[in-house]
Amino acid sequence: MRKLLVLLALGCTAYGVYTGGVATVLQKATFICLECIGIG
Amino acid sequence: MDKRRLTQLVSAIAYNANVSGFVTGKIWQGSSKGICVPGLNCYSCPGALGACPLGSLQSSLAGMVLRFPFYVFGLLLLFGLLLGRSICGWLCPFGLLQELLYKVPTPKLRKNAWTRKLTYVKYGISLIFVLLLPIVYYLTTGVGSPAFCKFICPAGTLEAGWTLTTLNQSLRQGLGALFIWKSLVAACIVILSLIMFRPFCRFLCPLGAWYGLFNTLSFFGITVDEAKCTHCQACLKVCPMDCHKVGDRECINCGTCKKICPEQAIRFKRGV
Repeated sequence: MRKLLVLLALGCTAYGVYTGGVATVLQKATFICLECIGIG
Repeated sequence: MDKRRLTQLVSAIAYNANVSGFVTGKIWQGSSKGICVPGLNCYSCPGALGACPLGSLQSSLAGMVLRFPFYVFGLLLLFGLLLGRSICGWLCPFGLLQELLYKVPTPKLRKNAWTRKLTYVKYGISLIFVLLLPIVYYLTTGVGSPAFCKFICPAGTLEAGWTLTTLNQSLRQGLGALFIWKSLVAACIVILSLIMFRPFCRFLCPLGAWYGLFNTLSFFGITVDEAKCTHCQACLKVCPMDCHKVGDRECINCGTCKKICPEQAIRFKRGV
């Protein structure tokens, strides 16, 4: 069960990387998050 | 200094190693920001080198488009399976901050039946503010909004809000009611942390709620040797969290119980 879940996690991460998930995170994280500060 | 405190300090420094950001008031924009760190650490903290998993989850779920956040979900699943809430106890800078505040000598409010009930609040917060509200924002306005970061997250207020608005004149001009609200929430957490052990982690943190689901499954954590255990309950009496048994969903694997166990029946589990 645990090993299957690890495979699922790795699969999701790999698919997310392949479909641009890192770019989405990078885009959000490299600009000041106004919501986090309490402005936006 | 014990091993856990040292690990907490090293991870807090590693998460926030962009020291020049604290002088210039500018955030790190390198490619490491595409990688989520396991603990709660705002990506708009001037020192942050990585991304906050909660902020990333919300913005990936409902930002400019609505989609399943495979990358962040996969990482959160992996972190949970590997470490469970050891992340809270060992690798979270905001947890460390609360623990240091708790060391200030003030009257302390001990755990009780009410604090145990309040631990369920974080599941509601996760569902409403991390999952539902960003989607509702997207469906009603066409652009998602990280509702947890916006209305609750005290890590964002302390690490990014107060820091950046102190260092950055242009940001100060945009402050209003939302900033006051977030500052009040953060101030409440700081004050509560003086009298309670890790109030944010116990009652509000969506990451803790998520990682807690994996505590019994995770590769690393804490376990009891039932053959040695005499059920004296010394472990639960000394536990600073709201655990009903060692290693349950509230356990952050701090090891306090391990030190006190007269039978030495508690040990850290490592690996498969």
